[in-house]
Amino acid sequence: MSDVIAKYGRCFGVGLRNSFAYRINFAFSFLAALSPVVIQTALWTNLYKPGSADLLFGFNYVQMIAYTVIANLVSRLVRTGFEYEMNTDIRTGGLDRFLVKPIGYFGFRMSVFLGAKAAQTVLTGMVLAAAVAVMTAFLGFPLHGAAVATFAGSILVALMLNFLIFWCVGCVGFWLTEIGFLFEAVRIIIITASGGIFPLSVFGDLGERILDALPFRFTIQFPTEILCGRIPVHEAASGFALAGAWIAALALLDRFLWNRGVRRFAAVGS
Amino acid sequence: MSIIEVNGLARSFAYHEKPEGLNGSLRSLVRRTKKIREAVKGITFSVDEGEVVGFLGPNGAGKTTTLKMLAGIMHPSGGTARVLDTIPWQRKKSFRMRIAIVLGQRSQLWPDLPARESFLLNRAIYEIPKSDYERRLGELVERFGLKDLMGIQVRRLSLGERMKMDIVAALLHRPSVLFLDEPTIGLDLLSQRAIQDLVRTLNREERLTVMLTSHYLSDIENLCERVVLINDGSLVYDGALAGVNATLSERKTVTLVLSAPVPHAVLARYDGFRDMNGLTARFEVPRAAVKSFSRQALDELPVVDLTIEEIPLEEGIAALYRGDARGEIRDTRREAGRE
Amino acid sequence: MRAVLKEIRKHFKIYAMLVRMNIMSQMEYRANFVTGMMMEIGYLIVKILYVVVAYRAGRSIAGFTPDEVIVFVGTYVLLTGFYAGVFMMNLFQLPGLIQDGSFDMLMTKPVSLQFLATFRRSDIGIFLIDVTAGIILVSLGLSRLGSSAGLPRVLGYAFFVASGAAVGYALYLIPQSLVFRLLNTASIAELTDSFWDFNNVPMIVYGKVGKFIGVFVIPMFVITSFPALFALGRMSVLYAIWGIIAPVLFLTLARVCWKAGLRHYTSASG
Repeated sequence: MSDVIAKYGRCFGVGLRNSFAYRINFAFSFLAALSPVVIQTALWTNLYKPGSADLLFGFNYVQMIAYTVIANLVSRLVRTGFEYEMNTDIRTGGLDRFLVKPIGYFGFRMSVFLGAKAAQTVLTGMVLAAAVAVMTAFLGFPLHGAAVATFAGSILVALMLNFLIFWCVGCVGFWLTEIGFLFEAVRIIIITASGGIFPLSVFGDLGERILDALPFRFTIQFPTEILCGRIPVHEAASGFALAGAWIAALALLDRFLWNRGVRRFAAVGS
Repeated sequence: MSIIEVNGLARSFAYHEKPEGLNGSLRSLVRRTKKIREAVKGITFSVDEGEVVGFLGPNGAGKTTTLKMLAGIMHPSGGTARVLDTIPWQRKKSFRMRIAIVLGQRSQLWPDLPARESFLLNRAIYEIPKSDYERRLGELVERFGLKDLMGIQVRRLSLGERMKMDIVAALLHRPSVLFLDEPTIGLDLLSQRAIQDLVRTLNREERLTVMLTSHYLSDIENLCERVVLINDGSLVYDGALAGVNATLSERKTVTLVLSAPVPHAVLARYDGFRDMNGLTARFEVPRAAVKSFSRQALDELPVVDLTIEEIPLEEGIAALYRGDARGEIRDTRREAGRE
Repeated sequence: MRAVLKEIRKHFKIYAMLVRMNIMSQMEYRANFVTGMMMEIGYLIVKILYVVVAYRAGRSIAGFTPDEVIVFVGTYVLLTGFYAGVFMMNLFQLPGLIQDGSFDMLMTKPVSLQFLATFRRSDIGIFLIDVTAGIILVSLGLSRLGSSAGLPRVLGYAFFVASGAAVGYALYLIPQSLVFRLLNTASIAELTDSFWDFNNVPMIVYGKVGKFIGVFVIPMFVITSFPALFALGRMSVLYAIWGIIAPVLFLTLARVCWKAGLRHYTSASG
């Protein structure tokens, strides 16, 4: 019995020492991720006039700060990365074993994506809960139970949608031999169009109308506004419907791109 | 005056020991035991202008550490050294202008460009006047047959070709001392030979002093008249290559495969018995005695197979260090009265 | 004295060669080169978004009008060209340089080691994008303000840009000097990289204390706010003097840290 304890004790010891260095790295990464929130909060605090009635871009001060914090966390939450691995699979011919069953690769990537997200969601969820608690206490941020439930649902929708969007991005690997930093460039634009930096109302009437016609806002802006209490439940319903329509449309687009891509892949080789 | 003078040079590294068990791990968060590893334990030697000296020794013996100290890359923990009449680790500009180093494991050339671009950069770094540079480059390229390779990107060259380019890059500014660290590592025999010929020719024609480290005996055999053997941080032998060869091949390993088990006590009666593994017995026998030993073994033991081999380099060096055979440190130059 | 000038000229000549070699190397990987610029343009869009926000909000930030904010952000973009195009990647690649033995090779060259290690790589594509965009923005802002840019003003601006670049180089070199002790500075690099964006907004938004720390203690704001203040004619004498002293002071400090780290590397490490 004692050597079982000793064995696990040793593992624990190694883990402890490694995680210490790991935790410093983690803390630094966390602080680095916090920077944009700090910068934007400082900006808004300076822009808004004192008193809660002041509106900028349709948001009052508390709402804007809440949006800034929550959008940052949501953006982290729905973030993908599999498009790089997908591209590698296309490059190295790792797709071969999946080609027989067309659902195979899609299902594979989806389950890996969701699996990874499950772990990350817990952590980000905790940070989000803490942030919301702080804002409720110090800023008078209005929190409703219904909003939280709807928010959870909208996150699921956002994950689905973001996955489909970046699946398209990944399919580009069928046509371009070298992608370089293309994915990164596209990702920055998409995050901006999703309301991940500032709410889409900063783009003005015309800009906002154009962006509203695109699916991106459902990945970050929509969930964030729900949690901020800016979208009441009945309005949220129509939002969900529209998001659902986008999911269907993108699923079709994904399938189309995939089939074309695979045909090219089989013809040209990896 | 020697071009390289080394006196009691030593170098130790501090490291933290990783403790065993949970208690150890917890304790190490608070206080770690510092351990010292002596990589170079006080070596003394000197090199004259135009000599090619080979530093031979097993991995981890301290060769590269010594070379780094003499090139100015590392400070010693003790002792002194002078190269070209300055202290290397002071890294004076005049010193750096007159030496060159080639690290076998790491090219100094830009991989995505043809070698000639890296050469041009070196020309600027070493302040070589244009006409000197062109003459020198022409010479070296001609000598090493590299003309067709000049326009090809370095990453597309074979390892041997790249190594030649690295040596050209190192020699453009006509250094007085060339340090070569494991220059033929990973190369095929033909390329190894080419590099060795190259360096030897330049040494002969320009009195280029060369200090080379390797763990391949063939590097030393083909390039150096003088060999310094390093083992476990200490200088074990310093003298003519012939002496090393003789000493190292002083003893041979004789391996017997038997058809039936023989009692340990019986085998132990033979001088030089080392170990037995099932039906295989190993002996270490002085070269002169190999014939008589073999005859005796074949007569007295049920031998099915008999193999005679050189003792591996590491074991030979370790034997020298222990003082077996003729392992005393000799400086043949002193013996010849040249000091 | 003449020897020192000769050395400086030599280093400039070598730098020109290094820039040329970097361009040629990058041409080998055209996809990376092009998509790298696309990515930089993506980041540029996000930076300019802050100007859009300031504009559409239609109000002053702590006494600076939106047109003046354009000059601030334009200067920030301009200096980012130096950061991302000239010195940042060298500093963050130091650990790799040491690990693969290249650093040891550089030590034996008769050229300043700090120079070689921190300036060998450059990305002219990124540099040109940022510097061009920055100059356009600053010119735009100044013309909207009705300022004329006479030669003395331009020279003074150029001086403070150079001073800012020097301070930026020194500030980022100081933490990276720890590479000689820690061997892996990736998370430090990540954290300090995120600090660069603090200059996306005029420094006044960070409050009196923030401003003081960012100007005199860890002079992040000297990098971009100072040239902007000068261009706007709103630079105090105190700041002007500090803008001259700070680069000298911090370059010296960086040199001290570098040499201390190097001593540790050559004497104690394994």
